[in-house]
Amino acid sequence: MAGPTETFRGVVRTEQCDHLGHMNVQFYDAAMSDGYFHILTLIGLDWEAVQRRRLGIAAIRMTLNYRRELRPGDLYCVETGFLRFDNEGVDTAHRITRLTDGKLALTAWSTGVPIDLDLRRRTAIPDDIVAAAAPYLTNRETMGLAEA
Amino acid sequence: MSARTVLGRGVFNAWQRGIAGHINIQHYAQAIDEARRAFLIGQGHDPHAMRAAGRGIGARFHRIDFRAELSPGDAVRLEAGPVDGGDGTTLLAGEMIRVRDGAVVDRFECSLDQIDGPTASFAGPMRFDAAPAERLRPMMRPWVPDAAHPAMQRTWLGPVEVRESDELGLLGPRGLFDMTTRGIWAAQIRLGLTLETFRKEGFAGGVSALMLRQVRLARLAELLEVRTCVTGIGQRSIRFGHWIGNADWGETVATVDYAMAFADRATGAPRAPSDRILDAARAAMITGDAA
Repeated sequence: MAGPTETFRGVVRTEQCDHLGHMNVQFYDAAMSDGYFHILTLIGLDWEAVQRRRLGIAAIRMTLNYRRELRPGDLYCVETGFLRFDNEGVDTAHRITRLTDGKLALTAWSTGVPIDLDLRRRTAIPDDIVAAAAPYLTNRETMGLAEA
Repeated sequence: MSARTVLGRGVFNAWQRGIAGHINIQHYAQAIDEARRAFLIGQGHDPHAMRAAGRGIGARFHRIDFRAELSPGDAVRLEAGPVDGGDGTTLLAGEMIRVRDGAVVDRFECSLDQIDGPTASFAGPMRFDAAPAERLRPMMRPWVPDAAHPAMQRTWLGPVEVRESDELGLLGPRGLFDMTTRGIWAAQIRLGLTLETFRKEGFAGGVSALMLRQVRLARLAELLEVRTCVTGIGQRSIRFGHWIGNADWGETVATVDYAMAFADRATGAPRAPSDRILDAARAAMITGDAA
């Protein structure tokens, strides 16, 4: 089991910060959304495949645990792995680390379901995609979610 | 060759597209800016201590060669490292790579310059150990347009907004490249290179190479303008020059030299625009004695 992989690395921008002086919650979600598309690319659901196969995975639930704030100029990364990935759906885990000092800033997990992009209805994830996701399977303990 | 490391990873999204449908240049510039910041943090520069001291980092020089387009949802990584600038300075040089197929999206170079916040000025280059490395080919005939020349047309006017400013209240690279992009479109439209023309005549245009030299930093709420003219015409490309500066007292903020290349929409093969477009470009081209 290879586990999670880095899916986003960026710097907190001033325009992402609110009047409390730290990155607003909407941009944590944006970083994890980007991380999610990144890992989907790694398992073969890239832009071209999504257009061709008319397959998407839509989030239906998300739980976030904020640990430390991110301030303007902080470098951070998102690591992403799958807690479950089968034909019916996906449980994805994210871990954000503040690289300026190496401390954990957030843990999160979400559930996604496959949708047919033409019918806009739930469908099944093909076996080849399920197989491609296997190297990124992880567990709650690794992702810092055991206590969450 | 310098040691490159991964300095950025991300995904480009649908709302980051420009008028032509591909990812807008300002977002490439933003990603390169973040890579520059990530590099400096890796070198031990604490962004919070710098901000507390009224210091920042920027780039007086940007050079980008565009190689491939990005589509919404495309994941990328940025790999870059320090290279010897050849004049005692250090540049950050690297590539943006499209994850799905490993294609090089762009190659870039930028300088690493200190910023003094209170005076809104560049405070000298930052230097790091860097081996000599192959540089991007300089753009031909780097040229600083004279803003007052009659061939220069105003292509954008507006203030520096909060969303474009960094933690020191100074215009950041994304905002600067946003103004650049708006000026590019305004200049194109004046030549007849509209979306409708592209559709009807079956070709498309895109910036293939860009070089920006920043002279000074612009402050929040400063009124800036972009002036543009055609500086050259190739077989399948048109060269433009931007002057970006203060709209009230004419002080230069940056100059931009860029090439727009044209291709057939169906095949992607390089293709010349119509004679009508080329004639308009020739009429708008600045004469040699003004350069």
